[in-house]
Amino acid sequence: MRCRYHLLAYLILTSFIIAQPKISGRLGIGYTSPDYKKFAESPFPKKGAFENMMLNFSFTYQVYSNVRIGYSQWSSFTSDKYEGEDFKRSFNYRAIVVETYFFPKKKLEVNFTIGPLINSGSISLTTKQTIEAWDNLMEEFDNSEIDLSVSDEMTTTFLGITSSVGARYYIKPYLAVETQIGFMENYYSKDKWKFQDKDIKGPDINIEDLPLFSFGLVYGW
Amino acid sequence: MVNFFLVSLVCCTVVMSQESQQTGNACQSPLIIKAKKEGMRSIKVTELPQFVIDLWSCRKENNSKKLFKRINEKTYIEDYKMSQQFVGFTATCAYCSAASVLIFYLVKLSGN
Repeated sequence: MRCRYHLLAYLILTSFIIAQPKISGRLGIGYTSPDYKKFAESPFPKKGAFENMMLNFSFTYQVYSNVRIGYSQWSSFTSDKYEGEDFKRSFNYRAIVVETYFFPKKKLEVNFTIGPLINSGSISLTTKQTIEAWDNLMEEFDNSEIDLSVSDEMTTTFLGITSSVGARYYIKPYLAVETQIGFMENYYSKDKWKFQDKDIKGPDINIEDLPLFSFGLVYGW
Repeated sequence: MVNFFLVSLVCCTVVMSQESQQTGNACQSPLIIKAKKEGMRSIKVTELPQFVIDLWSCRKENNSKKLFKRINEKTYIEDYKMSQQFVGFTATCAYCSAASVLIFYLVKLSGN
């Protein structure tokens, strides 16, 4: 009986070894349609289509003949001026993905991705100001008034799920182009922002259900 | 430090020259033969650097282009055979994903 268990364990373990682990990385660009509502209106000018573009990278590891697991990140970033000061806004959508796939034709792969999201958002402002104590100290050394740069950011974390269906065409065995259509369902709340460890209210944005279209290059082994 | 570098260089040169004497034709290295028979995916990640070096050495040999093409073709065929259809739980994951995407867009298009 014990021998059978050993044999079973051996078969399970070796099946993963024989499954030819394959590592792949993806770099892509995607289009989505967030609604930033008041946040995007004056004083923040709209960036047009660029505001809806997101950059994506992912790493996956083939664990079975039809399955890859990995990490995928989508980043949406805006940099602008707010009342003459440097303003930056970023949202990072991070997912642990399970990707199953099959080849309907040689070189052509159809894949299905699903996974939970752990997202983060941040808004930072870099302001230039004079601080009296520093001014006095500088004057002690015969310096004139110096503007200090002070930067701080408000942050938030929220969960979500993502799913997509895609097609990948292999140009070379190690290089492919991929297109995907899918969505992100986020549980964002404007009341869950933090600034200097204090709970604050954030912008009223609608990123709860985002459609997602993407195109990318995949390099893998 | 300089001496160490020189000794290392001499050792590497000797080792590499011995290897090239053993193999003769760079396109006949064990890894290239393995890739030709079983496709590129049969090469383990740890063997990859040596495989790339072998391919680089092979590129100037006669019929190397034909050989590379053959390896690529074999890889495509092996990939296709290996993942031609879903096995076990993988189909369930795919159905979940496809259904959720379909439902999401149907709801979006219906305007709710």
